[in-house]
Amino acid sequence: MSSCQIEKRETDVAIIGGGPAGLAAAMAAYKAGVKVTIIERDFELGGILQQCIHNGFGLRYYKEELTGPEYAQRFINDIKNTNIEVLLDSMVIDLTPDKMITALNKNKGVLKIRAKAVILAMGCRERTRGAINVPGTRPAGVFSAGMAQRLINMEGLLPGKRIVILGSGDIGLIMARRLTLEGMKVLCVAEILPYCSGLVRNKVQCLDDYNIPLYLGHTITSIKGIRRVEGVTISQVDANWKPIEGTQKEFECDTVLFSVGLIPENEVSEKANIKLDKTNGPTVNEYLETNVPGIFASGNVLQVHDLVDWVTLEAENAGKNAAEYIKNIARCGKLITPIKTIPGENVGYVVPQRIEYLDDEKVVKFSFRPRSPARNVIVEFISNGEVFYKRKKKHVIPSEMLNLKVKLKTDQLGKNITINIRNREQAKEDT
Amino acid sequence: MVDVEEIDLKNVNLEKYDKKVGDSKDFVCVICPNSCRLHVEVGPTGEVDVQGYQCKRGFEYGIQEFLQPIRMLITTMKIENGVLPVIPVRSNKEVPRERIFDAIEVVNQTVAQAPVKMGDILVDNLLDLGIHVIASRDMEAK
Ligand SMILES: Cc1cc2nc3c(=O)[nH]c(=O)nc-3n(C[C@H](O)[C@H](O)[C@H](O)COP(=O)(O)OP(=O)(O)OC[C@H]3O[C@@H](n4cnc5c(N)ncnc54)[C@H](O)[C@@H]3O)c2cc1C
Ligand code: SF4
Repeated sequence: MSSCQIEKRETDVAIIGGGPAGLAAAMAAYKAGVKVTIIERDFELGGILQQCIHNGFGLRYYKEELTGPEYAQRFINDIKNTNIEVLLDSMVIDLTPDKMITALNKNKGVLKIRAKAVILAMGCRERTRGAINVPGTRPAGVFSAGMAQRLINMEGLLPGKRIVILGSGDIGLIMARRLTLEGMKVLCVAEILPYCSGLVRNKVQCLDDYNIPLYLGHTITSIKGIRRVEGVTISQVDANWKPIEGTQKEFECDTVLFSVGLIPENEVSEKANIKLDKTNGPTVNEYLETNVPGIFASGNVLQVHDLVDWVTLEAENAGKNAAEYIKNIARCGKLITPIKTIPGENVGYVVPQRIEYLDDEKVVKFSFRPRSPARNVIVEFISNGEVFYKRKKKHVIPSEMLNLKVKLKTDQLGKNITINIRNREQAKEDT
Repeated sequence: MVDVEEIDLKNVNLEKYDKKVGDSKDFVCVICPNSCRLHVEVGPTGEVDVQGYQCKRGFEYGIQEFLQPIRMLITTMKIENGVLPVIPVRSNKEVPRERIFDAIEVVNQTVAQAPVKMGDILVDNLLDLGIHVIASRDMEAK
């Protein structure tokens, strides 16, 4: 390979990332009759699903319970039966607002791909230990849960023998079981929140089944060991997440796994001047289009999803919209000022962040998450001081995204739409 | 395995499931996010009774989980000549929970040969349970 070799290509829709979002977006755009190119940095398609070997995927989309690799394989098989172009081992390093993509390919060198529309589908990455700041030395044996998952499930390597896990999200819980089944000893899972952040099912089947203790309201306060982890201390925390003196528990272990959350991977998006929300995902309109016309986003790069089925549905929508953008299919009712969506009481964020087109009325799909768990709530959509849509929910938790299709009518809407998740009794008293 | 659709709760073979009159268990139904609290008990006449469920799926889960918990077997198997050194596998049906470690042992003693297609049977009749271990994905040869 010569150092200045540049290969130029053209396509209609370029999709950055070949995980479930990229694959579903590709199929939808292809079915709409445009030329599609998927650009993936890994040696194969499927994204994070290839390491999520457990079951629990596909209940909504396929109405059956699949493992991560099975869910991915179905899409990969569909793609094989099309003329969708797939560029593997190709890492996108630059994207411009006029949709010129630069990628580095292992064998071909630099690829320049000119696209008419782009779909961002780069997924997310894990927060690292640095992002949460645990005091102590920096010995070997500290892994993110996802990294450990890839090591075991794809490379066939075991991270250690005695393990402590920080974080009770689903990935942490699933890893606790996986490590136990592979003969390792999981000493405990520590969670700073007062509740388990993963699904009840995962707590029962991954921890309780194997008598792994879960310490709620606890965090790791120190890690011991110079070259390799030798032990950790966990302590109970007070309401301000400050460790309480005298509550320390010591564990002898050689490995610590961190499962402390995911953030959308948007370095490439920022190069194209795409504006990000405080979630680190791009802000989009109801077509899942970013502030740069013709660049769309879907999957974990847009918002961290807990169910891959929702990723698929969202990405299909992005794929179809990108194809329509290329075909110049008119969108009716462009608003002079977009209507902003605002996360209100007990709502962390809302996608889409703005409504840009509204002619009389239409149905828009909103996704959002509660900030904290609550029972017997009412979800309210408010504009001009009036509730124009409401929906009861028995139970909401931050680890489960809410998806609602809501009919919007011009005459009901002002400049903003605020979404609240409120206690039902409280809401009644206020009216 | 318990056939929860067919089982006669008034006439359960308690010995088979290592249960006796008066045994009970409290646990959470994990079938849907409602998380109903279930109470299952063997009454004085040997009848198995479930309380706290809100739907048929929860009722069936309660009986199954009380009499004989079952779990999907999910692990990886070594593979020779594949693009990766291991391949994800699963059981085609749930395995009794108390046999999971034995099942893992069988899988760990087996080596697959690439190429493999999703759904290929890699262990036939696992532990004489009439259950297969199947490949979760395709794996091409190197
Ligand atoms: C560890 C883990 C466990 C999960 N468990 C479950 C579960 O049990 N059930 C469930 O339903 N969902 C689960 N999920 C959620 C679900 O798997 C994800 O929501 C889904 O995989 C997201 O799909 P995606 O395509 O957006 O991202 P990904 O699957 O992450 O795919 C992104 C792809 O983009 C590629 N990429 C990134 N940057 C570039 C670049 N610059 N150039 C080229 N390619 C790039 C990556 O290599 C990757 O292949 C889990 C997620 C994680 C992280
Ligand atoms: S009993 Fe029915 S409603 Fe209750 S948790 Fe189980 S499946 Fe859900």
